[in-house]
Amino acid sequence: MKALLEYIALNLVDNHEAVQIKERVGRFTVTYELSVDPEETGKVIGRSGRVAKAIRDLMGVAAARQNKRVHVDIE
Amino acid sequence: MKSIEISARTVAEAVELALAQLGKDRDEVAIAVLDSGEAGDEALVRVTVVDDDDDAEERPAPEGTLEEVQGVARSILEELLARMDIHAYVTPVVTRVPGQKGDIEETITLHVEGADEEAMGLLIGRRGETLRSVQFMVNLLVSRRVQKWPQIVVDVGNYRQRRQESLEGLARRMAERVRQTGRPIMLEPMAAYERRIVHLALRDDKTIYTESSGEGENRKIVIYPAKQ
Repeated sequence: MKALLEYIALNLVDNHEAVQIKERVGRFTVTYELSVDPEETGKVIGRSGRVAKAIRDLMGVAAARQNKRVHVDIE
Repeated sequence: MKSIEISARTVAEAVELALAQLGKDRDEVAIAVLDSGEAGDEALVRVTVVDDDDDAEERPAPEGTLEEVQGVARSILEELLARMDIHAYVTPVVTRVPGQKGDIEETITLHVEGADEEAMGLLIGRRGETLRSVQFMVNLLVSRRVQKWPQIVVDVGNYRQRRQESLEGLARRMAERVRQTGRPIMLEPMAAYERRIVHLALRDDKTIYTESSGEGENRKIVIYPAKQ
């Protein structure tokens, strides 16, 4: 799951050093906190959250493959 | 700048003829439609070369030829699928149809096939919602890689075609009911491209007409009996 989020984030932004992903694994739910360069937050959120929604939908598939739920926070 | 005017039966044909004559690709010219060729007229287009061969040589590597975009799109989708723990085959297919502005619209369809039905179902999601997100993400990542926004469609196990056929069937059945009762019927909310399928399916039916009403997520089609 983390690998998917990492792949997407690194391919969406230019400043790779600023990409940070925190992972908290619970029994049923995994929570990710994604942060990128403040200048580039728009790229991972998108117009009316379209990109963020796509990230969450794809992460949802990855999580379902492991019988988990996932929560992605983007800041 | 070199420019020629060409007429043909359709805009698309005229454009193709012009490109062949100039020996140019679609992305090296500007196209103006002078007459779209409706009402039985011939279509007339003016095609102007925007890049001359001299500076073509100075341009960076031909990033973004269709073959290249196809390869990039396929590998990006494969990378995404692998990280979702989904095993599937991705086959790119290119289709060319004449666009509304007289250009040739090129669409790359990435067909995804896998043995795991459950995984394919997850990729599609409820009413194709997840599939739309997958498609959006692929388009976005590809456009960042090749610096242009190609039209990429992602289909899983022919879902889009099956959905289209089922929507067309629904549209015709509901139109029949409107015809018989003389009363309008409101369909379930649908995404824009699904509404388009319904509108198109009923376009030639003169006994009814269709309209969309409502906003955003709630926008839906209403089928009305034709006014007497």
